[in-house]
Amino acid sequence: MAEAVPTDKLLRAVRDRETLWRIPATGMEICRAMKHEPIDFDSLDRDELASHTDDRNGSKFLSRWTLRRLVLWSVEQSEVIDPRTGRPWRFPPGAKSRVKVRLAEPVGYVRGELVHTITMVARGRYIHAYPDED
Amino acid sequence: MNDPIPIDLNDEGRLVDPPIIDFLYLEPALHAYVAEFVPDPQISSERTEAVYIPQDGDDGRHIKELVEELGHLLRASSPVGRIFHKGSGNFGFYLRDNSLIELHDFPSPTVTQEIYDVLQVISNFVQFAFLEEKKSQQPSARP
Repeated sequence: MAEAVPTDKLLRAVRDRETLWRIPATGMEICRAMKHEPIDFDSLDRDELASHTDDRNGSKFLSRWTLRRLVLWSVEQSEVIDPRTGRPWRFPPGAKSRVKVRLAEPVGYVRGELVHTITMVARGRYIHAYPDED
Repeated sequence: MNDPIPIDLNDEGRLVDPPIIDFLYLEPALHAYVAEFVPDPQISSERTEAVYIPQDGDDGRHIKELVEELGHLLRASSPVGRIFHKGSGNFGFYLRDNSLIELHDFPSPTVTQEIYDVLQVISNFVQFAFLEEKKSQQPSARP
């Protein structure tokens, strides 16, 4: 599967909130959410960093989380059995689910704080992920 | 995501406060509007919540009217298909002809404020629908 996912260069051409990758086995689509993508953290002071990663502006991934890495990670997570349904995330019907995964490495900033957690949500046919509080 | 997005430090995003509609579209397979939103922190500690609003119910018809009103205000060339929050005070609108309108590019400040007002109505409406759904899922209290 990993070989089939496009390169980062191709994925960066996808428009905001459009589909980066459709998971053939489940019909779910991983969409791009630019408001969670890396910004130039080094140019910000502490207050600016808190503001630019708050609820209005969206938490932000570190730059090591490329779009391709995020797609591959999201596919992997979507294949984990959902304990509520006893099966992986699928579409349809009515997928509305959320998974929080704490990683060993930092993944991004939330309200100015470095965090290790990614929340992945399924809304209708779309999946997207963002850094979340630990 | 190797290339960090340049940021506009002058854009303070003061026009929007939670609840903020994050993503809204009509899902044909579910016959429902799928609405994701950034909730008021007093309503939920999660960064996003979501609710499905049946297309054919009163709430669904109300959402349809509000989305049509947005299309009218945006002078859209075709109906609005998806609404999403781009961060800060900016929103995106995909039309059914696949074109994209961004609120920050909209020329009229007066109409822009009207669009914000409609988006705020949608956000509050969706959050209320979420609360109603949550309430209906709770076991009823015994007398």
